[in-house]
Amino acid sequence: MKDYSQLLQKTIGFLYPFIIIFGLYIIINGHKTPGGGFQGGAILASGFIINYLVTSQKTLNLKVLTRLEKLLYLSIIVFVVICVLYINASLSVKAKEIYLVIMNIFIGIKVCCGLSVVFFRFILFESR
Amino acid sequence: MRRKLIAVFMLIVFIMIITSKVMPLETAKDLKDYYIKYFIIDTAAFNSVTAIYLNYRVFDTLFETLLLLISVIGIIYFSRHEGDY
Repeated sequence: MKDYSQLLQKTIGFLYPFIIIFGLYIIINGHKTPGGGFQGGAILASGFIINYLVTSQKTLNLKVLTRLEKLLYLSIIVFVVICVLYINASLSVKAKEIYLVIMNIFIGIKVCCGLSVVFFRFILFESR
Repeated sequence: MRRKLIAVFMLIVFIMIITSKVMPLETAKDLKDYYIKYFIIDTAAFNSVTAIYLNYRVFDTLFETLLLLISVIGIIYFSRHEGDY
């Protein structure tokens, strides 16, 4: 894509906030409606792909994404082991809902980072 | 130094997982009916799939996220190009 078509930029750029809001909606309402962390994370990753198609400068900091993914994985482990294996009986209903929402958000951001790192590694480095 | 810290941290998490209480295996029969009857009371989730992958079978979620991390590690490891433009 040497010359960027204005048509693609304008139409996809118009859809960009809707996709992000849709992905966040599916992540946050994962405990009531179908969806959850994994599905919403894939939708958010498509937001990154759209960002690549729309802008003309192609720099993205992949180190931040990989570091964020590792940090999220460690925090997911700690959160799960503490909340499900040890103090699950003494949590109120509100606390269990908060656990579900936070877990879905962590998983969603982690999946988004992972998929966009895979996409950008292939696009930026392997296509030479 | 950071790798040793991470190794110690994972060892502590592993020991915490092993020394948690488990029910004996004989009480876990007819799990399909148990899940359908009690998933709203045990977990505050109205979506049964969420109740299963975040509460009843949370180890599957742990290993799923580990799998995503390992696939990213594998792609970065096996590419012939370094990480800069």
